Amino acid sequence: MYEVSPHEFASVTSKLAQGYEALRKIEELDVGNTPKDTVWKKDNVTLYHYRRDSPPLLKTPVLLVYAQVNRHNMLDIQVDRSFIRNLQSAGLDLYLIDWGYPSREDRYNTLDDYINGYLNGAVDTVRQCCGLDTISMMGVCQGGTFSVIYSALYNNKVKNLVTLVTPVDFHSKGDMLSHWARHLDVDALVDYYGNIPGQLLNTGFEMLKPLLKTKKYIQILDAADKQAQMLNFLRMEKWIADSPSQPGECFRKFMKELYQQNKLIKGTLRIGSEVVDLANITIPLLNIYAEQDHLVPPDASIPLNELVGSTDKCLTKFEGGHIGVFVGSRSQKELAPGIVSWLKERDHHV
Amino acid sequence: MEQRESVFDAWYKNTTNLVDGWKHMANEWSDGQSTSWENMQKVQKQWMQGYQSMMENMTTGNFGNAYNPFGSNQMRDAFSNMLKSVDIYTRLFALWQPVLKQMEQMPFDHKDMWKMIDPEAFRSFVDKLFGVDQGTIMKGYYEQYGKLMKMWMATMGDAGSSFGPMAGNAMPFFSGMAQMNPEGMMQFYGSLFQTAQKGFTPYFAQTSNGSAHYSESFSKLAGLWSDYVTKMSQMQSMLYKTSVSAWEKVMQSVSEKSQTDHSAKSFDEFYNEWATINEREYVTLFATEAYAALQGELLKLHAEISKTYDKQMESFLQPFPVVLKSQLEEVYQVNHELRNRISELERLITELQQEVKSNQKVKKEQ
Repeated sequence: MYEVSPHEFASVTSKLAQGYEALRKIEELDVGNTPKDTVWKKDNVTLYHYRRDSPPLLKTPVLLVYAQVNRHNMLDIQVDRSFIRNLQSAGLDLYLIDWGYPSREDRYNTLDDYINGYLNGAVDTVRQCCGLDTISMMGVCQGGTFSVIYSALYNNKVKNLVTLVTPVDFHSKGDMLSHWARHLDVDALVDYYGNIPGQLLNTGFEMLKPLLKTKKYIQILDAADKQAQMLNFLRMEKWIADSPSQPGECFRKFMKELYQQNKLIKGTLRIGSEVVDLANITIPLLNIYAEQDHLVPPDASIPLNELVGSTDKCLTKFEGGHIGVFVGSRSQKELAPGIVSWLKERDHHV
Repeated sequence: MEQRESVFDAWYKNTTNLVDGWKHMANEWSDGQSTSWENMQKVQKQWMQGYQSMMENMTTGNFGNAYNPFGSNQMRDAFSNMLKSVDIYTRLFALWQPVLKQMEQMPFDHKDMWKMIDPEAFRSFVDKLFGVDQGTIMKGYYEQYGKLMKMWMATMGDAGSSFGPMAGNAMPFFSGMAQMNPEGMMQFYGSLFQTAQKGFTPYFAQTSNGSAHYSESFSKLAGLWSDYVTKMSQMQSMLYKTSVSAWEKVMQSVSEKSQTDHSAKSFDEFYNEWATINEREYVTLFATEAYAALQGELLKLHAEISKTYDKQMESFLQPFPVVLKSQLEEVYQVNHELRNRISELERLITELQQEVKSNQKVKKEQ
C-alpha cells in the first residue's frame, strides 16, 4: 500500500489556485463559429445557410435538424473539431434549423407546431432556395426523431434521410432516461413550469454518470497551465451549460407519447390529423448510432431500419459516445466524409 | 474597475499567503507530528471557505457582476465547479486518510474500516455529492420565503414582519434534526406551519379572500412539505445505503490489491478506483424501480409545492394593481393562438398564389 502523503492533499488545493489564475485570464469563448446567414425566421426559430467559398460538390442541399435539448453548437464546437466544417469541406451545401430559446408564448407550441409548422416551413424555404422538389435531411438525437416523423409525413419533400444517435424505440433495455421518464408526472411538471427548465434536464443527464463532473473538474486542474487543453474543455462545458428550456406542450407530448407510451414504433403517434406510419418512409436511409451511447443506447436507434419502408437503407455503428461521435478525433476523419460519400451516391436528380 | 481589482487582488494575496503557509506546513509534516495533519486540514478548510464565500458573494449579488474577478460568467461558473469538485475530493481524502494510513501498517482487517470513518462527515459527504443537503435546502427556502413575506408585509403595514425572524429562529432545529426520522420531521413541519398559519391569519384576513382560504392553503402547503421531506429522507437513505455498500467494495478491492503490486500509488489513483466503483453502484441504484418512482414523486411534489406557493402569492397580490402570473399566462396563450391563426392564413395565401400561377400557366398554354 502506498504511503498517504500530505503533499497530495496540499497539491490539489494549490492546483485549484492555479485553476483560478488560469480562468481569470480567459475571456468569453465562442462556439459555433462557421460563417452562416439567416435565410428564414419565424418566431424564435431560425433557418441558417452556411457560407461556402466554392460551389458544393453535391446538388442536393442538406437540412441539419438538431435537438431542442442543448444547442446545435456542439456540431461546430471549434475550428479543428467541427462536424459542420467537415461536412462543408467534403462538399455539402448545408442548412440548419435553430430552434432558439423558447419564450413564454412558445410554452404552448406543440409537437405538431414544430413538425408541420416550423420544420415544414424550413424545408419549403430550402427547397425554394435551391429550386428542387426534394432535399436531404440529417437529424441528430431528438432532431433525428423529428426528421423521422417529418419524413414519414412528407415523403415527397425528402430525398435522403440521415439519422445520427436518434431514438425511435423509447423502451429499449438499459435506457435509463426512458426508465426515469416512465415514472414522471409529466402533466404536473408542464402545468407548473410551462417551459421545462434546461437545468432540470441537465441535472438528469448528469445523474446518468453521477461522478463524471467531479472527476473531470479534478482532472482539468492538471491542465491549468496547458491553455489549448483548458480551452477545449471549457468550450465543451459551455455547450453543456447552454441548455434552453423545453417548450411545454411539445415536451408533454414527446415525453408522454414517445418516452412513456412508445407510440412512434407502435405506429399510433398522431401529429395534427395524421398518424405517423414509419413504413411511409421509402427514401434512402442512413442510420448511424454510437456504440457507447448512454443517452440514446444503440437499441433505441437500431430498430428504425426494420420499421421504414425503404429498400435502400444502411445501419452504421460508430465507436464512441453520444457526443464523442461528433467531437472525437476519429469522427473528424471518418464521420463527415462517410456521410457525404453515401449522399453523393444518391445525389442524382431526374 | 480599479476598485474591482483592488478588492480581489487583496483577497487573492491573503489567500495565497495562507496556502503558501499551508504548503510549507505540508513540507514539514512527518508521521511523528500527529497534530500537523489536523492543523493542515483546518488551514485547508479555511482556505476553501475563503473561495466559497467569494463565490457566494458573486452569485448572490452581494458584490454583483461589477466585482466578478473573471472575464465572463462562464469562467465564474467553471471555477465554481472546480471549487465544488475540490471540496468533494478533499473531503474524501480526509475521510479515507485514517484508513489508508492504518493500511500502511499490516496486517489490516478491512472490516475495521468503519471504526475509522467519521459517520457524520460521511453522511455530509454523500449529501454534498448529490446536493441533497436538506438543512441547507430548507434554510434557503425559509430565508427566501421569509424575505418575500417581509416584503409583502411591509406593503400591508409593518405589523406582520415577524415571520422572517420566526422562520429564522427555527433554523438551528433543522441542522440538529435526525434526518433519518421522517416522522419527527413531519411533526416539526406540521408545528412550524401551524405557528406560521396563526401568525399570518390576522393579516390574510385583510385581503379580499379572507383568512379561511389561507388556512386551507397553509395546511395544503404544510402537507406537501411534509411529504417532500419524508420522501427526500427516503432518497437520502437509499443514497447512504448504496454509499456504504460501495465504500465497502472499495475497501475490499484496495485491501486485495494491497497484497499485490497493483495497489494505488497515489491518492489520485485511489480516487479513480473509488469513483469507478461508486459510480457503478449508484447507476445500479438509479436503475431500480424504487429509485425511479421516488425521483418521480419528488419532482412532482416539488412542482406542486411551487404551484401552491405561486397561488398563495397571487392571492396575496390580488388587491394590488399588479399583473399576476396567471393573467400573463392567459395573454401568452392568446398570443400563441393568434400566431397559429396567422400562420394558417399565410399558408392559405401561399396556396392561393400557387393556384393562381398554375391557372395562368394553363391559360397561356391554351
